[in-house]
Amino acid sequence: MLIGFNGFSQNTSAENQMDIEALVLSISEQLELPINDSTHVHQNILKSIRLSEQVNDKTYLIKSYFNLSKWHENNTTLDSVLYYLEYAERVSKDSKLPNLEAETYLKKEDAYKQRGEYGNAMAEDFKALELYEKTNNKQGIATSYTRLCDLLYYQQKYEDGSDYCQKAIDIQKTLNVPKELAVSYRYKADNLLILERYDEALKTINKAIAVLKDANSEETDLARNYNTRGNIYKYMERYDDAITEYKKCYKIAKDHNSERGIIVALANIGHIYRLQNKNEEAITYTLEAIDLIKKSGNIQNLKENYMHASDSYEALGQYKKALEYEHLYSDARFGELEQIIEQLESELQIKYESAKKDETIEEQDATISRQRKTQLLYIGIAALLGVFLFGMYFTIKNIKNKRKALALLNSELAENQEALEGANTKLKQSLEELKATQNQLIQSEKMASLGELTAGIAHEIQNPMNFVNNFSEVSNEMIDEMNEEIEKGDLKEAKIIANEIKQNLEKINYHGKRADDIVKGMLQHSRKSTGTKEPTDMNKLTDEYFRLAYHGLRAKDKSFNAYLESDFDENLKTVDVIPQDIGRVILNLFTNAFYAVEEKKSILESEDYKPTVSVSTKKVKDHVLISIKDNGNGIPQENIDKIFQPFFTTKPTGKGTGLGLSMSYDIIKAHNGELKVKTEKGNYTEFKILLPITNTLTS
Amino acid sequence: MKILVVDDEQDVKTLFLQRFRKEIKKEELEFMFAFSGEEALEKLKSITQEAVLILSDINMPGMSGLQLLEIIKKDYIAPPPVVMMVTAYGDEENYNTAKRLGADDFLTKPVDFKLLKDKLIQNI
Repeated sequence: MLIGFNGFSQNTSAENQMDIEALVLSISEQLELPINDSTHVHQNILKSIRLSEQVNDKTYLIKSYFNLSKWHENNTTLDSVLYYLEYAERVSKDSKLPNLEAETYLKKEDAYKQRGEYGNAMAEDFKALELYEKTNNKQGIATSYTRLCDLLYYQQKYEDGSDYCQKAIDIQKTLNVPKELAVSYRYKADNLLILERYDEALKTINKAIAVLKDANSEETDLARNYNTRGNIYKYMERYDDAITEYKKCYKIAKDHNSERGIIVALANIGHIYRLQNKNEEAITYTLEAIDLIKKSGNIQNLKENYMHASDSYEALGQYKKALEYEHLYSDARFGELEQIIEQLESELQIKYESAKKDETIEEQDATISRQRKTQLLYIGIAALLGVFLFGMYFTIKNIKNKRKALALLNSELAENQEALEGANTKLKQSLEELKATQNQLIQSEKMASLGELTAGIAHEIQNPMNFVNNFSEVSNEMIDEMNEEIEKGDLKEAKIIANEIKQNLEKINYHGKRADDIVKGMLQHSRKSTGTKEPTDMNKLTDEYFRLAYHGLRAKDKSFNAYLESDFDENLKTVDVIPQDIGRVILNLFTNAFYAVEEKKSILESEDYKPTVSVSTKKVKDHVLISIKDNGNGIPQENIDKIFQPFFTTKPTGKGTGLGLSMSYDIIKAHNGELKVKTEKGNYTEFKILLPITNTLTS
Repeated sequence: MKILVVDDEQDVKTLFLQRFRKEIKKEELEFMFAFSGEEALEKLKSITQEAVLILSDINMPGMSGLQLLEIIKKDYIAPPPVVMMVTAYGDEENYNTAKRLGADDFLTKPVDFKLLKDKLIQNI
């Protein structure tokens, strides 16, 4: 346990302040050391954030975010590192703490640098620089310059890097900051070394060492400078001097038990002996370095040492050993390259897949062009790697296979790209085709329901026409009889007959109108919806379509039969609807209901089953509820969600368009109504239409 | 002999009563009416002792004319009622089914009342 921080709520604010200070500092220190209990540290960081928020101390809040970010750095999740730094950035900006804000930018720069995003890192650096300039923070300005120098080094802009180092040096000279000044000198020396300006480099690193020695700095601070000086001597081919430097490094590393320092020093010494052609000595150091690297688990620099070992063995004439280490070297190198390629490949794969899944077709166009750019970049990188590979390792026997694999990978990438583009074009085409087909189907759904009606209409018209014919015929006969009675003088009988004739004429009129209504209904159904609501007798409309649907089915399937039950609410006056549209809905629901009972009947083949379709209307406050119920087999639970989707049908191909219910749903919605379904497996299905009455047109 | 007319159309009753008003007056024919297959069976139960001629439509909601025919021919052995079916023209399927179920005679829609009158008198 760190310190007991429980019970802080009872403490005074001042005490809390001190607690936070102690806590944050202790966490910062812990984060610098190898961490044993990472989760515990994490908990404490969260605690420090909570405490800072409680006493509203922004400085410690920001510092806590720094710690949280740093903690994630140790856990190698760079995204989280940046994520928490952005928190810190926001808080520092909001609370106007420019120094902490600048510090945040520098931390972000470092995070970007770790990921190799040098452009972003530079941007962060410049932000920090600007802030430091504003607040005239000289030390900060110098630090920013030094950081820029380092970044430029990574981007191989050594001249610029060296210039920025000089800027930093100029400032740091005026301040008493030997450590920072030495770092700037060292960075400058590194740049100059690469620029092959060895004399200048040597002078510069000597200055760094002098500054540190004047300030009585620790040996550990000096070690890196000795290393750089050794490197410079190496390139100047002053091998003995180089070895002296590296041996200093070795001693310091050994004294401070720095594994990494020892490895680097051993490797460097081995390399110098190799360059001096002192191969026996070289081998000893190199192999020791290899051994330690393997033990350390961090394979950095391993392959170089393999190469040095191979070179040394070759010089000693031990060709078998030389070949063995050359193989080890090439394997390590390829391992690295393959890792990079795999990473690229999987990134591409992820992008492809997510694009395929999530993008709509239109969006895909944009994505593809973006992807093409990304891909070209990746292909470019991959191609560069290929060239690099070829140039560096053409002596290795299996280079051909590796190159083939790389070329294959490239062509696979290109093929994937082509395939995706092809698929996209096809998808676009089929979408257009689908849209056209959908329009056709909506039209044919209207026509199909009209077809279902026609047979019903024929039957429905036939009955009234028969009555018209029969009653007119019989009336004709009765007029003859009436005349006979008048001639006989039986006026009483004549009057009775005349009354009956009058009744018949009423019947003729009634059945004529009935036929008329049916024809009108048919015309209305086939006519395009006028889109205007009109007061409609819902009972009549429902009853009409009920019988039309029934006789329509009967006409198609002679053996079909069902019990019809109706219960119309007499209190229901007219309802404002578009009659053709609502008629279409009712017809569709009836047709489905009849289909359901017919299906159950044909499956059961039982005399006990009484196929029944019932309809009812009911006035509920200012709404009308129309219920259409069948005692068929019900809708399976897995289909319930889909029945209102367009093109969903369980009927055999050609029997249903799958548009009926989806159109019905749309029509009822357009009437501000509701279409609901209730069903029980094996027992019934009930559709309920709820429509607002809103009799605005009638009184 | 009683004639039981089975049809779901209410006005069929009015029509028959007028078409056969003379015969009814002279008590040559006696009519009963049912508006569904079920009602027809009820009516038949109430007159089990009498000889009956049934004239039934086929297309009716609920029990169809054919089902009614089947039940009558199966259950009413003595005295066996004469069953005459009214079919729509060109409706071969129903015609054949009715014949198989034992229908005694057929009429096609629209009903020719002169022909019907002859048939009824002939049967009686």
